[in-house]
Amino acid sequence: MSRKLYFLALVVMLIGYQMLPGRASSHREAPLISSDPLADHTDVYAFVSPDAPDTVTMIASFVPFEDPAGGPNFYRFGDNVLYEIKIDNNGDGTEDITYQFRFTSQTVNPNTFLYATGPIKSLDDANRNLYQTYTVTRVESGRTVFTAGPMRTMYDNVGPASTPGYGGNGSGIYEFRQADGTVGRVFAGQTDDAFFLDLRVFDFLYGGNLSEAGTDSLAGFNVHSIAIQVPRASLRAASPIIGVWSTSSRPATTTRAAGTETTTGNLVQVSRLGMPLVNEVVIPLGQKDRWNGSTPTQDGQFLSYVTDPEVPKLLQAVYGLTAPATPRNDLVQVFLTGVPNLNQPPGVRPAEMIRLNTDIGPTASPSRLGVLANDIQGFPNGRRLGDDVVDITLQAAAGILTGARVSFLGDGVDRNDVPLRTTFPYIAQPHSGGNPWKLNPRPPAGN
Amino acid sequence: MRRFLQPQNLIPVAIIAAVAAMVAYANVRDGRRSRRPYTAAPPIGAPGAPRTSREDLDRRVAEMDARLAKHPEDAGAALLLSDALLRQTRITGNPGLALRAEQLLTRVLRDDPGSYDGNRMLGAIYLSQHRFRDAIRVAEKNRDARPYDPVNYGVIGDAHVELGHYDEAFAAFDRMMQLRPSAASYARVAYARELQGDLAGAVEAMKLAAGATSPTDPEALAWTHSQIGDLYFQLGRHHEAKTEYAAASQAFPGHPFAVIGYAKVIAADGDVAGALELLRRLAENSPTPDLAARTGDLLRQLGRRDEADRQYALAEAGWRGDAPEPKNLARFLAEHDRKIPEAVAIAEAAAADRRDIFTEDALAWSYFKAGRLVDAKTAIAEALRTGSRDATIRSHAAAINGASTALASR
Repeated sequence: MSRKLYFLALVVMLIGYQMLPGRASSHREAPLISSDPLADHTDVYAFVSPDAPDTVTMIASFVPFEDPAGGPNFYRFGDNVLYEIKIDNNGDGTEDITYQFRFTSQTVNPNTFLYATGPIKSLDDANRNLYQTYTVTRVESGRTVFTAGPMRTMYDNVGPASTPGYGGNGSGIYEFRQADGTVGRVFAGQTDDAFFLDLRVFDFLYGGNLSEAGTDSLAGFNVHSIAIQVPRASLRAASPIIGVWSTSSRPATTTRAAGTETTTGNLVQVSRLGMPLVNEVVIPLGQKDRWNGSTPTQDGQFLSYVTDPEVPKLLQAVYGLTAPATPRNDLVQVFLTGVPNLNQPPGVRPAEMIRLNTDIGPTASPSRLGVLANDIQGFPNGRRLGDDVVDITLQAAAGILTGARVSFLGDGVDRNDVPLRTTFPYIAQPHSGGNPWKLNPRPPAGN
Repeated sequence: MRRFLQPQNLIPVAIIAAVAAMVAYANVRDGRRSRRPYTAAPPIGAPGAPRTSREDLDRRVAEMDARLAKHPEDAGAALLLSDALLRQTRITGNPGLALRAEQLLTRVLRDDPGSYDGNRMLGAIYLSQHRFRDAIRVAEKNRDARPYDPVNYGVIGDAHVELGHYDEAFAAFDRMMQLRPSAASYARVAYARELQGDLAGAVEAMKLAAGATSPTDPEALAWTHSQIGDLYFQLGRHHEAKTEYAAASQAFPGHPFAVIGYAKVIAADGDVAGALELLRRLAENSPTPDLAARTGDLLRQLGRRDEADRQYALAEAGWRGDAPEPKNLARFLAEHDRKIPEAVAIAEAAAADRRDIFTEDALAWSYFKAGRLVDAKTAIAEALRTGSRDATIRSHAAAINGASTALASR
């Protein structure tokens, strides 16, 4: 150690003092790398509703790894985040219809930080101290067509004392009237995380201990979901095939002038999701920031990662699984254009989004392997909650669509840890937080 | 567990291993080519990782220490440990932690000089050590490697702010924001506005930062709410300031910025004894020269001069050891009429390196106490050049310009 450092250490030791770098308001201690889970997508789903085949259900989920017992700083939607579900119904890669969701936190009693000041038994229960309202707006080609609301988010499943009889006491579902006279349904609030996979497929943990393969890494976690159900006819145009993706955006502010901090200012997209696993498997690490801020019409810049992907080459190098010849037009169809005679719109411009053929009705017995098991209502034609997208994507990457015999590929996790609901919003209700004390001042009866 | 190793599962298990390894490889295409153990986990405070409570930070440090003891070459563990240590630095004020983090990073980069994550962390460590030009150098290299990563603009901007290059700093922060609005970019825009005297605008931006801070990061929530509290205090809105400090303490009990802020408000409102008690308790865990100086000021207010002088002596001794931040010592000496010639020398040396408004203010006040009015006027004008409404700078300016007016009118 240099003499200067030695002296410094000596002084510190002798005096017993440690140094706070600068005065209290020194911003250079501001966090540099901040995660933004309230605006981060976990999954997007789009499917013809199984119990209402004239309608399409679209679900966008946020807040990865949401711990059910997450108090006292509870999870919610972001107040200054513009959440959007976008629909391209003519295959040109730009949205023709957008559903926008805006949330506002409300506090009943500002002198307490408690989520509930007593048991919550309904959406508008007076004991909901901290809650959110939201509006739904439909935009067509940049023009606002209608706004519905405000509605209330479904409250969190805090636990048996704060939220007794959760799920039996109101569902959080609202109906709203669209400008064309049709009726839609909407839900926003905490739900189960419906995705199921062994994350170690994508995360090379120390030691690579795979004796526990087949574990659903997301079991027991919740998310916050927006679900909307509208008639097919109000989404499609000439073709029954629609492209669906979701974005979240935050307002940008500038150093020089104070602006009006609402979500009508200069918005910057911070997260984007359509097809699952694109960010994890296709987009390389150095491009993820660029991906999160980009639009589908810019996806030409990522084309080579799809036509000439890394994963199959590496599978070949190590395990001798012959990588299918490039360019991988089969993967272009899965991720960028849709598959011909299934979900490819006429004259499509390659762009990453979920492509759903709304004319293909619900299957009586859905298969988790979707199209690969001849269940053509399934992934990659849209995405249902039960579709095993990890297995399907792995097999597709290894060339199953071009005849490779790779149907054994998979992560060993075939279904969600809890069963789905049979009615809207279909995604399972959230895991209970077990009523952590911090969220309820009164102990449960009998304790 | 064992059933997964049966023969019919070996191939899929092997494939999972291959895919895991290969996707991980694909994801580290930019540098690492090792078969060494590499702990890949989300940084603390991010979703899927432990929260940033005091206990969780300690636990993360202990866990990564243990991993590195077994595998000193585990670069992933080194990065995660560095990240946790920098977080602890903000709470404890202990510079030894950043030194340790730098040593860890040095090893990581020796083994893998192109490591993007390693170089990015190095920029943050240089900032923490006040090596601002080094931070810029590293961050610019990183920026060229990944132009869409907002973090590098944050490092560049932070360093320029501390050097007094405000145009470059604000441009970097604006670029950071345009790439990604986040707690990190909102907080920097807030500071830029504060430096320009736009306190209301700073509150707006810092509130956006609070709203964008992860619920799993209570330490950052506490920091952000404390910043808003400080701004409200500057605006004279004491009730709102106290509410913010209470929110900060609720997120992270005993966060130094929340305690110091709250003590400042109640002292200003007349409860000096209560403020002293809060600072005393904080000093038991995280003693710093700044804390000692504030304690001394409060004691002096109560007429307890001997105790105050003892605190001042401790503050001075502590700041003497604060080699990277000499302006604090200069300003302290000048404010308390101690060793003025030395204050001037220290401030001049600091100003030779950095022209930020706080260094200029320390210089101005040292000159003023030394009777060098003309030099004081020049320096305080520099301290006011961004339009800051900082109470200390303004009161120094009033005194200096008042004295110079008095002189001129003689």
